[in-house]
Amino acid sequence: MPEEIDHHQAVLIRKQADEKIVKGEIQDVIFDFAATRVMDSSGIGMIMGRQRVVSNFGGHIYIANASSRIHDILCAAGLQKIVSFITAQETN
Amino acid sequence: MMKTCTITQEQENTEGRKNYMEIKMPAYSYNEKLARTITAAFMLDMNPTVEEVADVKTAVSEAVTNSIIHGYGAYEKKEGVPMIRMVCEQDGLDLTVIIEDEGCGIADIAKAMEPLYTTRPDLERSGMGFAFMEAFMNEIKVISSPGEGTKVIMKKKIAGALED
Repeated sequence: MPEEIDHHQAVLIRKQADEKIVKGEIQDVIFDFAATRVMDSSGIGMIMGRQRVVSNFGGHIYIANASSRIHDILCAAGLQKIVSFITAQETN
Repeated sequence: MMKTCTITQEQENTEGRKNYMEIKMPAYSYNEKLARTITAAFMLDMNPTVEEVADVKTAVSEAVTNSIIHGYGAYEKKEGVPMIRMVCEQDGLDLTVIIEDEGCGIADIAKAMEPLYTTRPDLERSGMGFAFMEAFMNEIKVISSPGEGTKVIMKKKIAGALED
């Protein structure tokens, strides 16, 4: 994920992710937030949307390496109920 | 015989400084980044923490996104490109950021500000925009009515980073 995630970036990520998920019938997707410093609410909608897409294939969304700031923003809308937060070691 | 002396740069006293900036930009989504980056540059003089800069950047991003998606989203372009006006004001350690559009306006401001309420779930909007502006700034005021555009006034007290 990029250093800053806003509505503009979220639309680009959404398009790219959906193409790959649908084409490869991907089930489990990891979004790595290691480089992300700033994010607005657009990031929440983007993750929620991808969760809906992978759930069609019985998949799950994993959020890796989120800083406490990014974690708090994502959880503000209750995202922790539908995705899993993991650390770098668990990504393999 | 050579005499030497050392000149050290004194820390400039910016306490109580006042500043003002006003810009207009077209309501393109790539200008969300431009708006928050300019604001971040403007507030550097207030010696903010990294967290404070991130707070303000997120809040500015939310307000500008609202203008683009909601203000001008269903907007019939009369002439030219719709514009967003941004004002940054510094009064000592008090930062004020104003984001204003000439879009469709908001009929029910209280409803629009409710967490998780959105009129555009089709665009994957989470309805957390105003909630984050409130959370990351100290004060937010929304002035709007249908057809009259929207003006968001946000204030934040910068506690500032400790000198290294």
